[in-house]
Amino acid sequence: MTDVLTATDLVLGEAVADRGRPSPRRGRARRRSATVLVAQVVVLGVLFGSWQALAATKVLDPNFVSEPSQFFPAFWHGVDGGSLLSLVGTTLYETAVGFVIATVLGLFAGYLLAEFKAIDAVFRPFLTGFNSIPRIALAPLFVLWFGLGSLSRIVLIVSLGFFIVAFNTYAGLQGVNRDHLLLARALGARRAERFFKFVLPSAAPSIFAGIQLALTYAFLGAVVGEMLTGSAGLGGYLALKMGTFDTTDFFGGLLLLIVVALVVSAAFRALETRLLRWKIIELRGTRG
Amino acid sequence: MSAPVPATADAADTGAADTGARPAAPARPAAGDAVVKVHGLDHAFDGPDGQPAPVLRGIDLDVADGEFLAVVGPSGCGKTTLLNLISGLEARQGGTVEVRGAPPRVGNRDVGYLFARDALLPWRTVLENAELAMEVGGRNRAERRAVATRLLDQVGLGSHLHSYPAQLSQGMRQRVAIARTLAPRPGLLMLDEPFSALDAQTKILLQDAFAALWAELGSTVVLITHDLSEAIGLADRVVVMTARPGRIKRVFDIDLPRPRSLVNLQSDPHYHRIYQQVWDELREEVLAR
Repeated sequence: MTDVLTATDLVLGEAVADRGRPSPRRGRARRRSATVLVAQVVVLGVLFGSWQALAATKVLDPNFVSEPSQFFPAFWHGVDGGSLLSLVGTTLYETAVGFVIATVLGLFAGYLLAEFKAIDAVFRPFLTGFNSIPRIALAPLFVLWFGLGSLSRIVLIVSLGFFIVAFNTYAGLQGVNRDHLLLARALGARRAERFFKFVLPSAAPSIFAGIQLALTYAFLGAVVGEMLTGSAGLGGYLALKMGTFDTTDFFGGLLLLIVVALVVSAAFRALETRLLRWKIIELRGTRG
Repeated sequence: MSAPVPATADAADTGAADTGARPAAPARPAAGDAVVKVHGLDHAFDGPDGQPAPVLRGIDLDVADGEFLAVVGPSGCGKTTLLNLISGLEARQGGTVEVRGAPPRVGNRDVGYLFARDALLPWRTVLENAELAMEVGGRNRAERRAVATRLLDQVGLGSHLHSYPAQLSQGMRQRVAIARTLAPRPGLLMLDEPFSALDAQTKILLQDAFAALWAELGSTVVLITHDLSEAIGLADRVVVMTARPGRIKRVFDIDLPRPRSLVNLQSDPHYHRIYQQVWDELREEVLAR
């Protein structure tokens, strides 16, 4: 576990005090995470080192695979000069807008399906049907309908993320422990109390997993959409470089894509430890 | 005795005769003071063949204010159904049930429940779980916190206030459930096999902890259990039910002096005499299945 101070800790003075004190357990955990970091650096070194060696000895054709000594500078030049950053800005903008719309709509739809049986009965088959369409295949259609600009990508992202969030929300809200519902009833909880104190917290891990997955798909949708039209963003850049067989710039762009994805997923992981500490403890058994 | 129930009279003749006087028993209130009144209660479930299968037949039962009543019977005799009918969780079919003069209503804030499964919310800490019933009941935060902290301290969880349920043993979890149930000081407690999921030693400790808290609270209690020592050790009166369809077979007054401790009762010969009498009644019903 990371040393992120969670909201729960701030409420619980005891846990904060526990963190302040250097304990043998904590020291061990720190040593372990340092070992992991070193191992990861070694793995990266072996990967890029052998890549470099294979390309330099022409075992692999550098025209096809480029080489780290080329694409790392290309990556850094693009980031430092700002050209790659402005491209990734467009991609992130489309990702963020599409992701937020997909999440809001998905949460709402999942809630309606879970809480109202009639809506569930009428609409769920349609949702399942739409969800079975490979949305990437619809991307050209979205371009036809919404043009070459960001809008067609945002629509693609929403079409991907909406169903994921909706179905995860639905499943989470449906999967409430019956004992908890009986307790809510016995305690005389009103409808809103039942939802916010019993149903929603129990659904939170499933909803959160859906949102996280939707973000991955949003990023994917943005890049694929851009590659298809070849017009904008990091995806457009990658398509352009591939079209001119410039594998060095291609891998440089890909590297930035990976870095951005890692940063976003780390941010989500931190948010998860903050919001769903109880679930982590439950999965792990007891603390420590 | 609160109402002229035939089975009760029978018990007074036979049971009370050899269990002797009841020096420490509280005076029984008049019939009008009964908190729970059950009369002519019949109930049936849909059987596998589509025919209604009777589970309860002709139940007459009054529970006096402040009385601790235990209902024992073989599995499937309808004792949980009886509790669900008194609490309103199950819709009544025949007969009458009144709780403080009104039909039972689910969500009555004056009624507290304790089940075999603790139903603790895993996303809430021990303290937050103990506050839950008061929170739904609309008590303010400071009062909730104070009451829950004191009760958790009394059940021996004072040093686990900020743990999550996943970090507790089964016995500790049930202690939290006890604190949650008793915190709003309900006038009527409905207990359905509250200690049945626990190992023997944990169970007896928890029964004593509960008895001490109840003595302080003075609520009326209906306890459903298949555990005879629990029924006799805790209750003022023990109702023995027949095998399905459940009827009241006999009612025993338990004249063991209070305060009692289930730990100490294990070596009390009088307790074992009562146990033998109640078990003699129950045994036939258990074997009848």
